[in-house]
Amino acid sequence: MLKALFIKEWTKIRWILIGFFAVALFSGAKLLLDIHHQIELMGAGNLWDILLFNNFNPYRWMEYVPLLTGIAVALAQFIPEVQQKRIKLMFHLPVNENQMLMQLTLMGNLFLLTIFLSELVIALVGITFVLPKKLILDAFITVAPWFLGGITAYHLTTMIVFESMPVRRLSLILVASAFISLFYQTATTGAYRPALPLLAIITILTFFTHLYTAYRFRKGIHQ
Amino acid sequence: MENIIECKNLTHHYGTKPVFENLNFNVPAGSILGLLGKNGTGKTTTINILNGFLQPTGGQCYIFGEDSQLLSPTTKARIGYLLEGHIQYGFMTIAEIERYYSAYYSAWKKEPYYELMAKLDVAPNQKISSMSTGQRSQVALGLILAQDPELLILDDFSMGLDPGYRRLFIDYLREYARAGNKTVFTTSHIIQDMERLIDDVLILDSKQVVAQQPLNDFMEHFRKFTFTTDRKVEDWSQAPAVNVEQLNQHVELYTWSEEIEVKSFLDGNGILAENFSQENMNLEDAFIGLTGKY
Repeated sequence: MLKALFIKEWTKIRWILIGFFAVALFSGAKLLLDIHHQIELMGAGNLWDILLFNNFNPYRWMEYVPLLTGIAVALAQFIPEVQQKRIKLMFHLPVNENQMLMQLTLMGNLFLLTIFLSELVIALVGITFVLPKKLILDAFITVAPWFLGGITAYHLTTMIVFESMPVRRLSLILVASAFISLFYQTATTGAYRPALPLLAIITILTFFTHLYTAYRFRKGIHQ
Repeated sequence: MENIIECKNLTHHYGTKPVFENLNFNVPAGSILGLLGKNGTGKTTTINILNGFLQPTGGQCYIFGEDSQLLSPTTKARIGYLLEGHIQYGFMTIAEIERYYSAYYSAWKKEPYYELMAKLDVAPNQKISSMSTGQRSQVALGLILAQDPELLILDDFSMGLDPGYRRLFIDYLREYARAGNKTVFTTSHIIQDMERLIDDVLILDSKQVVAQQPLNDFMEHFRKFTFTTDRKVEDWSQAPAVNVEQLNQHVELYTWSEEIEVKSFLDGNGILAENFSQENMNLEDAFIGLTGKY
């Protein structure tokens, strides 16, 4: 059943996924090239120096790419389901409804992780040859909240898509925006180091938020 | 006979507006029951409640003995469901959608599906979104046949279909249901289609069930009398009738009563009826006679 669901979700949003996968590859490659370019221009020693002491952040431009990816994947995956209440087809399948909803978001998470990890692997592995481990770890800690923010945005966008009452939807957008902004408070290198475990927990907890609005949608609750 | 569907005191309101109140009806095993009602009488609402897609304001429905709000996966596997408008996954091809659903049903039989698809002029890799409504209706029906459920719940199967596809849909469905002793609960806004398909009729009006019986009994016992009279009767409420329409001298009287009771009322009230006769009706005539034109 999971394989069938995976194929269905892939068929539905494969062009969006391929598009964002290409963006991810481009981002990773661009970061890699930027770092090598800086080394050519100023030498590795100077680059290390400004990375360590001048808070130079060469990956800042990619801050909101995971966020946009998370939102776009959620919209592409769930808007076709709520249009014409097509998700009734899925709720009618002989599977527990909440289990089915979690399987759906699990698929979305799997797609996002594939995109994000590809981006991180290209970017971070590519610079291990020219930067020391500490700077690689700093880079990872700096970008990690953005990727967690992307996954959280995916969860919260899914929750919002299932809400059918405009006023409630607006309230959820405001709450979700406040939550997501936690992941984008600063791009200072390593600033999120102490908060990362908490952000990771928030991301995991938001995995379940769509169950409530989907229940309201499923039961036709409009108040 | 065992009831597959049982609804007790079913009530639903949208906000403060009541749709229906205290509906009670049963659908026995093996029957093909048509739910008829004018727009807004709660046909789709009833189907949504039956499938657990709407929490009723009051009352309960049971399907195979289970509360329809808490249907188990095992029970859902015994129910085939057609959404209004024959909605399916438009991004899939006919082969992809068959493979997708087959993973969920242990008793899946793909032969009836492909038999039906062979009648359509579509390529195997054609996306459902690029098919006509008629073709999509056959995809939706074929998937239900492949699921081979014991109960079929169909929400307005006629919607968007031309006469040929409507006929094809009905013929296939009727043959399938009768051969397999399936139970069917269906709505349609085209009453001629219902007449060709159903064994039993359930009519909603004025927020309640106004008739539930075998179609043949309904057509036999619900009568239409016509006559002409010079007298303009302002109030027919005392007549043994559910609906009386008088246009100038011409009167149409719809009733469950026998001819003798109607004549007795007319005589007793000094209404001189000329050209009195009972007219044959089809189901649409009877439905309009029972529920009125407005």
